[in-house]
Amino acid sequence: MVRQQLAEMPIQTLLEFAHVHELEVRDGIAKAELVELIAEELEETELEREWLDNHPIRIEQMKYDLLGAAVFSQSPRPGEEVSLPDSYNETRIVLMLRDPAWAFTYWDLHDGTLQEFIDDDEFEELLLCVVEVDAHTGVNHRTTVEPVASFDIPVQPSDSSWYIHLPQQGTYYRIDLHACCGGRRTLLAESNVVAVPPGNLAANGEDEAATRADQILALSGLQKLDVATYGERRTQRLISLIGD
Amino acid sequence: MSKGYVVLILHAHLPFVRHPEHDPFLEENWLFEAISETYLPLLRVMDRLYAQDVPFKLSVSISPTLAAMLRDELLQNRYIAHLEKQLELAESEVRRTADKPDFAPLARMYRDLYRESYRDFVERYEKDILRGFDRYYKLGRLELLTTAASHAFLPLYQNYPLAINAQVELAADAHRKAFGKSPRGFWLPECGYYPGIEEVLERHGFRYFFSAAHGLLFAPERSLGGVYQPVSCPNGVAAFGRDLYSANAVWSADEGYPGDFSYRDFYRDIGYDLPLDYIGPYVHQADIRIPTGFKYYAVTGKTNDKRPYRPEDARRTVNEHAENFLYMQQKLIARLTPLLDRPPVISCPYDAELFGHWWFEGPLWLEEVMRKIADSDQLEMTTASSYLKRYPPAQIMQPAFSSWGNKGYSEVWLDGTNDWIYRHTHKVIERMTELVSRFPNESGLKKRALDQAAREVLLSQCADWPFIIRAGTNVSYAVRRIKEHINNFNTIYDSLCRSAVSTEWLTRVEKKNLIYPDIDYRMFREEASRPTSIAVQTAQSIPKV
Repeated sequence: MVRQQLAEMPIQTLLEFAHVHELEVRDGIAKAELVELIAEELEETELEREWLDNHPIRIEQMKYDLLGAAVFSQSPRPGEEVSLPDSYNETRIVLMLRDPAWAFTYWDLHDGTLQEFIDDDEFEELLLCVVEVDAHTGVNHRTTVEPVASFDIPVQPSDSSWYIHLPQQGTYYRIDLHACCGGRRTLLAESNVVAVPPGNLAANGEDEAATRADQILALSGLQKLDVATYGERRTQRLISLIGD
Repeated sequence: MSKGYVVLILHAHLPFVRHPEHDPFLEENWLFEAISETYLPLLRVMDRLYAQDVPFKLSVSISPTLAAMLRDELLQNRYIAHLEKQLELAESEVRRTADKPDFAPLARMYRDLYRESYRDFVERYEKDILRGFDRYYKLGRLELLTTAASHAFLPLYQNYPLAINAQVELAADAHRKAFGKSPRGFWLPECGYYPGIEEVLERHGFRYFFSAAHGLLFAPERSLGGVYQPVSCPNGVAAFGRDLYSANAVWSADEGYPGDFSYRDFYRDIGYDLPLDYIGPYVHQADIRIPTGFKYYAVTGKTNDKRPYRPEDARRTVNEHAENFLYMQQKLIARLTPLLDRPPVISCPYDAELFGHWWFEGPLWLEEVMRKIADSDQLEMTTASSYLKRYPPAQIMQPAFSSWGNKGYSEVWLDGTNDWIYRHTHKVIERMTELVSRFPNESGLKKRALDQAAREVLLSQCADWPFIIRAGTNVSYAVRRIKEHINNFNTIYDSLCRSAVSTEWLTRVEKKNLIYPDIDYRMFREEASRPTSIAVQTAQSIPKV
């Protein structure tokens, strides 16, 4: 079906698709070959998605797949393209939690600030310092934050975002952006703090109520959860209940 | 005999897609197909059950963007034009298949369905199908929920309490205006929960939400009722956990009901099968093949050699699957009852558009399930509100960050394909707050500009755009939409900084993105929201249910 659809499309549309998807297309490629190349790419992507996506996500995709191959037709018309600023010319860093093991950070540097460092002969690198913090929320929602541990990730001046593997769950993280010059560190920006959940079952006791809770947990479909878990907390009792 | 409760929740949502500048506009088909294949069939299910005194209780979450589109005159008229085109194709198909015994009854079936949709939409509901939902809401058979104003994936905006507050406040307002009642339940888009969101929900009168199963199961303390008892967040808002057995039975294409070989195949469509010189007038721009909704084959199996669809076979399967669902639920209830001190409740949330659009027989299956539950002495259908009234949560607990997306968290909405979005969507929230402090009490043209800026901020947060970008379908449209909203906002921001708002441009943008008509930009004023705590709270409070 896909091949038939592709074969009916103008070669220019196919070439644009190949370009957008970074497919290697040699000059003068025959249309049939191009169709095959794109069909294979689409099939591969679909297989990958099928493997990666859980049920709710697959179903949601169906909702937006009403248009089938019309993905080819929706390029903005001339004059409709909109470009967004690469940065907002300010110095800041933001930390976003993706899951209990990964966070995403993006940052901006004021044009002048960055240039000043780059022009400095002693400039070595920019560093992301990932700081595990101990956060306590007290009255009036005031949060006190104490650093516990940290590690560095060197980044390039041209970088502006990064995915960070978080070594600990059930804790808090912040990220600092530093410039290193002549062995000295200058703090450029400090991010918000994110709360990282444990990503697994809470510990349970051994009394009767705990046994009952484990039985309910087993009936709650623990083996069908299909979510990433961190640090095994399933007791033998629970494993045997799930087996039932 | 043990007795338990079932809460069926259908989440109906589509992003705000309305393009007066183009006619027709392809992505508006999302709405048109959902009306024909899901929303009208669901209303017919309720009509039949009500007419036959079947004591059903259903919950439907209608997103503010969907409600706005369903009440929009331009889209209503375009839907009628779409139906007329479908009817024209149906007549043509009836003629084309007249001597094909496998397909002729199917062509007539589609013609009858489109005729029925036309009658219902134009004559019965006078173009406003929300009236159908409202009818059952007022009769107490349907509980209507709302969701975030532009369906933002809220955990990725948790650093911006003003934006979260605006998403919730506008949703509550829009619901009240649409249905004349305050909603009690809030559907968290994509079940995206983060600790603290319940504070915003409570502020706007919400009493409960639904969580992914691990939102309760992976909470810092054990959920004593698993996902079969709601828990109370520390501030009293209740959280219901999603039942995974019911979910998998319906969602899974391989192991679930919709993949049965007798059901109608979703993919095979005459839009792809028939020659362009015949089907051209009904596909995009006469030469780009798209699904037309006329599908003549059954799932058959993992083969391209599909056999013709036979509705009577599918109907039998629907009955078997409804029986099976009932049996599974009863079995679960029987095992849970001795372990709990109150009747268990099984929460079954689904995307509404799954029923009818993807799973053609889905609405019939729902109808059968509701009939069978009505006849059962072990199960009773209820709504979350009714259950909470009878059985307030026994456990106070803070659920954990979670979603129903892949691996249970944010990775669908935050990955290498779509992470560039947040730099901009976050920035426009900050700029909006800045605008409110600079222009705290405007009227006239400046207020119009500021209100539109607030609309653009919210529309840019719609979770469907990062979702579509990651999915790889309609990417350029999704990218274009995000850029358009950010750009519109920045244009207003720059214009206000220069005190030079173009009335003509503003009027054009207002006419296009005319959602949230009563928005007040001052909802982005700093004191409009209290900060939420980042730490897990342990405060004890009495559940407010």
